[in-house]
Amino acid sequence: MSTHTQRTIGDPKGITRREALIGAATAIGSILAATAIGGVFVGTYKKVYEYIAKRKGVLYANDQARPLRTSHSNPEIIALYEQYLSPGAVAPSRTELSHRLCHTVYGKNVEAHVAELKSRSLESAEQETHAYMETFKA
Amino acid sequence: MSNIRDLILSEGVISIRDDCKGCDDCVKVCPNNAITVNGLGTKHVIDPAKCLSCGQCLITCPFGRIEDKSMVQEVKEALAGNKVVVVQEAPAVRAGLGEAFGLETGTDVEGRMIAALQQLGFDHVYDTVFGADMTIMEEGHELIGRLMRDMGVPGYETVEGKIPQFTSCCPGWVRYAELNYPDMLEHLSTAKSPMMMQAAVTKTYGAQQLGVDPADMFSVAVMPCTSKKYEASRPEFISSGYRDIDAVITTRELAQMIEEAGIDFDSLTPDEPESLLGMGSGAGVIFGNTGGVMEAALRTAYAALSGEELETFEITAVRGDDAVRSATVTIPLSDEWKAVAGVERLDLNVAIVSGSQNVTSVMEEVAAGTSPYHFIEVMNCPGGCVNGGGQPINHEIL
Repeated sequence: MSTHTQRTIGDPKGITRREALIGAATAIGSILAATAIGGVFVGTYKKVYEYIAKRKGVLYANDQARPLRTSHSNPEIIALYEQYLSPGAVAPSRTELSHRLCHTVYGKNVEAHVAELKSRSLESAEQETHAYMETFKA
Repeated sequence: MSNIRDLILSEGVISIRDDCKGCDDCVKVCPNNAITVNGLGTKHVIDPAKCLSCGQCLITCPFGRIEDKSMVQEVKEALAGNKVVVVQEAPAVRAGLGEAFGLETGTDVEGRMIAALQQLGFDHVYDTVFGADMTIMEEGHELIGRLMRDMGVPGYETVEGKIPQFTSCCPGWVRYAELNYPDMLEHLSTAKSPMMMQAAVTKTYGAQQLGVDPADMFSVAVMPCTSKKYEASRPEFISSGYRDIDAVITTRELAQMIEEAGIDFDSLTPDEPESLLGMGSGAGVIFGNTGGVMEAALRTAYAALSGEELETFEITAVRGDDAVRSATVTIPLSDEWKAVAGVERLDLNVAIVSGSQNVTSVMEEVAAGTSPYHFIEVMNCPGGCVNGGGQPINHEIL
């Protein structure tokens, strides 16, 4: 019995004909499966892409439908600068308030920045901003 | 939110549940290789020191076994309490929220979102699109300042920061840069994100205009993003003299609150955000798409430098889906700028990167001093905030 089924096909590892056939079938099967999975993957990728494109489309259409298309033409933004961040000016100036409220730092600079924010009050930044804008106007 | 804030700072926002099946899908989408695998099929672990809190793993997990830390309880308590509760919503929330109520993908639910927040009891419903407009004003003028300094224009000598300037609105990207490029942070714009700018003026200018003591204010942000929970927890965001943001919830968590409150979302009458900090431009709206911050910034930079508005506001050259895109925008200078800059026009080279891990080649050029770009937008999540880790999950697709 064993002599029949375990004839090798000249492989030093002693792979039988049966094993070789199974091996070949497995290899072909794997290639087919991989292709199928690949196909599914590409299909999924395309679906995700189309899905996200629909969400992006919402924002592009929302933009197009708005009367205001640019940040600098927003009257509430202009009011914020004119009345608070850079009194009297409608665009950003390098005021203490703009520095404090609109800008930040990164990485190793964070710790010192936290200490600076804690050591100075908002009111002092507001006073400095007003003084700066007065000299700026003059 | 002090307890949850401390937890987020030490453990990160995202965690993998013990019943993780070990399938590896999360590992493949993690932009910063923060997920470690101890063996095939075993529970995966997130390294808080590397995690960006972006939640791409969370929305990808096919078994729903990845979670984000929640501040919903804090928000509910604030709504039930005596404080003046103020809320802002990121642009991308209105592009995804409807999906949680069975509406077709691609439905703009802006008006219903505002109405739902009012019904939930928020005292003032503003809009992060306003904050996005602030970011453009600050970041755009910062870019012009850096460019003029490099061109030797008098008056700009003391401007700090380097060209190319990178955007800084995305907390996942900012953390990625801090962890991987600590020596190149001078290239990041110092402008805060729309959420943090809006928050900073809410408890200062906003409180003053409303006649409310900022100590009695509770500031909430609804975000398409889990990393925004991390950003709001960072120690430096105390510029108003208080925690600038008190709680961040995701689009998913807002949907959950609306459902629990028994609000019939579909039949809500659309409303508008309140004035003062609620008006936003279309430029601010597109912040939620990859390339959107660049497009918004170019609209304002063009106007500031040329003295004229663009004829067509849609800058299609910066739109698209490729992971790295680039464009050159020619801006004719106004007479005032010509006089000080000594040139007729500026050829602004810009790049857009979608997915933090795709920034490598761009950063190599910057490090080598060979980068052709002046301004670079990076968003951590592929496609932008609309595909953020806090958005509704579509299990049929993802």
